[in-house]
Amino acid sequence: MFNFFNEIKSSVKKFKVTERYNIINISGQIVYVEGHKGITLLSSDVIAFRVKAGRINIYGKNLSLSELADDTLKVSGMIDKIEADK
Amino acid sequence: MKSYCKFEVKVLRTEKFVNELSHDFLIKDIEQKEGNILSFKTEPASERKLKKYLKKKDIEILLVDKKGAYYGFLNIIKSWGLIAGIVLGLAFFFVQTMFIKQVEVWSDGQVSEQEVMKLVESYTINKLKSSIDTKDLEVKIYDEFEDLSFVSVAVVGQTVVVNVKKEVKPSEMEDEFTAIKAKEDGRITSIEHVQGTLCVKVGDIVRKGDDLVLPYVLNAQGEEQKIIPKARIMADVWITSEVMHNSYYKENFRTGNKVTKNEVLLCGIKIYDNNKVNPFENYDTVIKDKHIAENNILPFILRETTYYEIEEKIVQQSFSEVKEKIIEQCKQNNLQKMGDCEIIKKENTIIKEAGNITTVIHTCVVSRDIGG
Repeated sequence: MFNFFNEIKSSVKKFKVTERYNIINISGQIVYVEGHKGITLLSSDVIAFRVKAGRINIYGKNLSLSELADDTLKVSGMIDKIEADK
Repeated sequence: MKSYCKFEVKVLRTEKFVNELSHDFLIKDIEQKEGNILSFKTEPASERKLKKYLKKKDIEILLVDKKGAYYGFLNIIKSWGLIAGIVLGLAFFFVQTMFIKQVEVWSDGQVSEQEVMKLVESYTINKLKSSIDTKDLEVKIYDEFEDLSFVSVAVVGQTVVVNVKKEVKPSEMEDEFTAIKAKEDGRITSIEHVQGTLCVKVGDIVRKGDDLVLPYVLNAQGEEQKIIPKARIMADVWITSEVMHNSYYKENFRTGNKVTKNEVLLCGIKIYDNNKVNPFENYDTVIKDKHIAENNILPFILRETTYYEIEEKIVQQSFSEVKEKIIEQCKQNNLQKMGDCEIIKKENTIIKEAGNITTVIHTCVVSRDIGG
């Protein structure tokens, strides 16, 4: 089955991309995440979650967790910054 | 509207709770409120399972809000009173369709529909459809009304449809025995007699309205037997027209003098007048109205009234100058009175003179059917 993320990964020949997590930021208003390991912080300014390699923090205003499943999540709001902590 | 179930729960460690919940359920619109209150939405299918889960975890549920078409439908199903009402309504509807509600009568216009309807209604309205015998009804209608050639009764839905037609009798059985009378004045030229008693013969001169064929025959016992008279009676009919000519007559001529008066009107009210006065004793008047503006916003009208002076003169014209014209006029008048394809058997012109007045009388003789 066609997988958008796998297609992009296979197109980068320079180095091998490991299967850890995928993040898509849509217009700075929606962030879709695959491969999270659980929420660590939930507030309207910061939403943080664990991934295999560390932690991801999403900063912004009026943030809300639109959807949360076992492996995927969706954050909506005015997203200023996405940071990765190892 | 998409259906969902919104929960508001009180938890101490929101992130841990949410992580654990997400392993088993898909949750949406997660919001953290003040006082450790968390709200989230889930699908209707997960509601029960989620409630059990929360109970098992000893989580305090503050609010459960169900929205959407799915829950609306469930509410309707649970409304026993509403369902009972619908069922009763349907039952009543089906029961009443078993009864006759109205009667419709179709006829050819010669039978009284109101009377037929009244009779049929007395046997059918508010009665069970299964109890109505249409054959029996047809017999009843035949017995009640005379001279019916066709009756049919059928039950269509909740209506009894009755179709009736009056008997068509041959003309001999109709009770109309009137004599054939002459339609015009004329001299009878031929008779084709079929039935009835003739009271004219060929060569007789008849006037309009005279009896030609009487509506009876005498049987062997000398008694009168009524019969519809039939005959074709041809006669020579005279068509006359008359034109009078007067050798001296008065005619008005315009002398050439005229006066024109101009007025300007606005909505019928005079706002300007050139004050011209009519000086003539005998005159003709011609009035012309003209719109000054092309559009209807300024409805000004210019009225021109022209007075032409006229003079009376005596004109002399002898009959001989116009004789042919007058005779032709008479002939044309006669032709107007004739029918299509009628042939003129004879024509005659008489000219009578009395002083200045000459009268031209033109007569045509045509053959016509004056009876039958």
